[in-house]
Amino acid sequence: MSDGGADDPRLAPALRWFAAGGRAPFPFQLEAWRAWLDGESGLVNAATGSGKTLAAWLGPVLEALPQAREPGLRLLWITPLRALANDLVQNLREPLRALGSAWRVEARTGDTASSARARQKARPPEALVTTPESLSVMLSFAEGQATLAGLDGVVVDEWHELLGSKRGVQLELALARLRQLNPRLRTWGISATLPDLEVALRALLGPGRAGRIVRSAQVRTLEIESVIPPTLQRFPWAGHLGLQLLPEVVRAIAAARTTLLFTNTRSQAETWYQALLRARPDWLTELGLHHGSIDRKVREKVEDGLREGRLRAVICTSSLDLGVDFSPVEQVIQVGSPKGIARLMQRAGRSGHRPGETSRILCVPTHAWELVEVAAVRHAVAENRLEPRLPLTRSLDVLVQHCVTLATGGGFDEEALLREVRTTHAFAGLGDAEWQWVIDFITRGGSALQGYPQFRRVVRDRGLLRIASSDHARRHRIAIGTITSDAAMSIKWLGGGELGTIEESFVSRLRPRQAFVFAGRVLELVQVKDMTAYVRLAPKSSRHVPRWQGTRLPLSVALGEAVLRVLESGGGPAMPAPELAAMRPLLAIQADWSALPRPGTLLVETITSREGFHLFVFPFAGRLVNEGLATLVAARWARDAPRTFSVAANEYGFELLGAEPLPVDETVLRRLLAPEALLDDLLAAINVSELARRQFRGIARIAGLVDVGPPRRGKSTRQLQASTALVYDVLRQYDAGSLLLAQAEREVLESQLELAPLRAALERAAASELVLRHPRRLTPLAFPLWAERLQTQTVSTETWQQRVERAAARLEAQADE
Amino acid sequence: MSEPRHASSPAGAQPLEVAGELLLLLPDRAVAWPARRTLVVADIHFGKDDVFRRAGLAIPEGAATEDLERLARLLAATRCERLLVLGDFVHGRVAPGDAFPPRFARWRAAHRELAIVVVAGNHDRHLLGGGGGDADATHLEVAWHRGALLEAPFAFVHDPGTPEFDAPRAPFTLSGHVHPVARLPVPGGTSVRVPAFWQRPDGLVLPAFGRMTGGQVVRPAPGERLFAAGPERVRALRLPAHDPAV
Repeated sequence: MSDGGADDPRLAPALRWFAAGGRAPFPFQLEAWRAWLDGESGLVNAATGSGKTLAAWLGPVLEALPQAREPGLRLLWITPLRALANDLVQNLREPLRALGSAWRVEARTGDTASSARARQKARPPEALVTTPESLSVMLSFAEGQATLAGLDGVVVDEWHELLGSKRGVQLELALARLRQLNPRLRTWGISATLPDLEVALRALLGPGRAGRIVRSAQVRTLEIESVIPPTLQRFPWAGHLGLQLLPEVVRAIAAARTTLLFTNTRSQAETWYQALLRARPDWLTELGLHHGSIDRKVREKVEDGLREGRLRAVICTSSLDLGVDFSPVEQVIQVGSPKGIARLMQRAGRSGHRPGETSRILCVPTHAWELVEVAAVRHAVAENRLEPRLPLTRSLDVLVQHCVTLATGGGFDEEALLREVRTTHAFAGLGDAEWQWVIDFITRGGSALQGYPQFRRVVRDRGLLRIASSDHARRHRIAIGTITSDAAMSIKWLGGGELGTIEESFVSRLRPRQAFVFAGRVLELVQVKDMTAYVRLAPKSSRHVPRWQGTRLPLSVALGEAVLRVLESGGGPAMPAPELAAMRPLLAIQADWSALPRPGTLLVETITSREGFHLFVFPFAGRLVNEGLATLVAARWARDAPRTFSVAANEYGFELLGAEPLPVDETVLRRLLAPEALLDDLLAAINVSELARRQFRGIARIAGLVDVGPPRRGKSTRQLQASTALVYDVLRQYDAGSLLLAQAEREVLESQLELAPLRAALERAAASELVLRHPRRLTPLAFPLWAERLQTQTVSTETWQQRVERAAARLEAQADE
Repeated sequence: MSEPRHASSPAGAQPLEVAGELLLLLPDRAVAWPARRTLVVADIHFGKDDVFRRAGLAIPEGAATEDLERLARLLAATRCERLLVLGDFVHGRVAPGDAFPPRFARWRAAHRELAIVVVAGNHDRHLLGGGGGDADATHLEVAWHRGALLEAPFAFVHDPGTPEFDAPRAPFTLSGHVHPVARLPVPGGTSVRVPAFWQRPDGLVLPAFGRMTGGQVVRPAPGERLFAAGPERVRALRLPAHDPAV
């Protein structure tokens, strides 16, 4: 065992290839290769850039070397990002010739041309790089299933990215089908470090199937540094676009060969791109901008520029979190809160993308407290305390889609499929009634108690359930997938030429001739037509930065806890963080006027101001959980007597603002924060069905309750358009037993209201010592909350009718006007 | 109880004086023209749920029944004797076995005395175009009218963009097609949508009547007004000036 299998003759070609390059394989690579050759399944756990791809790849390649098998598909390589597929193909092809392998590697994603697909159908490559969605599309063809039956194995790259999402559930179901086709199929995952790798392995293989976890012993060095503002007094306490540190950032970019600058939102990326160009106009051709709304072709050019070292810096969002080998990246800069521990590690990993190299990340805080967050991440990384990722279960919308996929791909037997589905982690606990509902839903539209005349989708045919017609099949294949987002609108120049896409909800708030910043340019909206916004360059500079949705990522609970731990240390000898040293004056003010929050305590502050009576509570639980806590406490307090609170929440705590002073003592607080009756009180406080109506959007698309298709389509398909809100209302009224409605409410409670973390936060509060302070002024911790209140959303306890009533009443004109 | 001078005014109605005539805008997305005992609706899209179900989208049956019940209630409340539909009476092709034709036939039998006039809309081509389907449009006992229906002082059309009525001296038009919706801002940064009547200098665009229809957010230009249809009543809106900072 000391050589880890280096004398295994089966590995000899790989060892020779490594030796020829003057290298030796890492022990975890040897272990993974041997495990593959022995027919095992498992999970490779290694950081980006540590040789994990080769660990999973060479086993299958080595195995195929001696045998002259007939051509056919042997291996699937699943990647979460289709933009990465072509890069991956290049990477995988690299060692083949030297190893003497005749394998062909090709990509197949939604972007693959139909000619290439036809060729792949006629003569499949030995290894195919694809996405979970494209795998499902292959399963929707009977010939596709026949091809897939010849697979020896599947490698799931970046499994941690899929785990915890509906795409992960979709893949679990597809893998169960592949194992049905070939019971000896080997499944390997590649994952970054997660707190519970066993769970990740179980979700990948299905419960009850044995697998090996192969860990890279190698620890990548990670250096996290901060730009520390020279004077903290002039530094804002609350959120800001953070351009105060622009000179320092310009200096850092100038000093490095290549830089990736990450921001948390697309609008922030646009702002920084413009600011950097204003500061250094000579960098015009050397700066790139990359985010999810920018046209794919433009993004690809930026990626090429980065790879070839032509660009000095690329300003990007999470669009570049994942990616293969951008090895020239020398420096990574993070603007704003890191938001999560694993996230910052992932971003840092974009630099020094080679085994043994050190990853470096420079953090640029946009307000003072983010300095503490940086110190907290550094500490948490050292202690290896990362955010957990829990795989989803019982996502019936995904199951519905998968069943229709199999009905389209030649049909299925009900009982056999139920057994197969129950081998997955996601549906191991699927009840008979739920399964019956799924079958009813796809065959007759809904439960037998309701009328669905003429419904056609899946029909019974000679003992199998099959798709009703080729037209139904065609539309289902278009709809396969679980990624749902706000309707995207393309942005085009008036004279032609695509710029990218932007959320429809944003465009709908713009007026013609109004200027906004997009793709690094100041544009003016000319008109909106056929889901396209036509624009031209705005005449003069305007600072209207678009605010896109979906970018307000909350601080992770793990990071919140880490912040408390570093605050306790105060940057003392146990944790000598330069950020905390810089923060010392601010922390001293906090301690002097009120108290410093520590683990095991819950800090509460009350202040009376001209605005009224403020209650500040700091559970450090992340914005979503704090919002839920605020709603709960406000509702419980308002139950005692009619009261109105305006509510604000941020990553650290929440604020309630009432008109007049209220008595606050430990008894009152304990009662307001009691973990008991959480669900009932929460349901009474907010209108869950109104939230579920929004949550239903994704569910309806995945389950095929609404028609999805490309934005520009013929008239005949437009006939099938209906908003999900409308379908939700109709279902609630006429088939309230639909399990998809129940799923929407469950998802609201679990993912939107974060019920489990909420309960955990209350239980933590109940076990904590309460520290109640009455400062005379807003403390450094309270101030950002006070400043944020202006942007706070109200959580409505009203029905749609009541909201319309109220909103309309405010806008009502005099009838005789 | 004495007979009213014209059809009675149901709850929540908003009177609107145009072209010298009194119209009542009703919260159930219809307009009553009392002087002619006529109820005007637009864009019913009958059979939309059938089209959806045939295509494999699971829409339960109840929603379509509700449209007919609502229509019956409105006719009773306004005592109108004629129903004028401003186009898009049906949604798509009618196939054998669809729920809509027999359901409508039953309803029609219960409203024998009612005159129904439909100004054909773009969706009605599925019924009138002669292509496919077993539903003979004459079985519906509906008088079809192609193009604009002129009844002084009004012109009834489906599409408000019909060119001949864009002329300066054209009569006041009542139309549909657009499915206008008002977006009402709610304090806290969100908004709610509500179907709306859209009054313009040269005409009135009705909200879609059908339960299963979507809508298009309309922003009134100067000289135009929006009336929110429901809940409970119709009200004239004074929408805030557009906030460029949002």
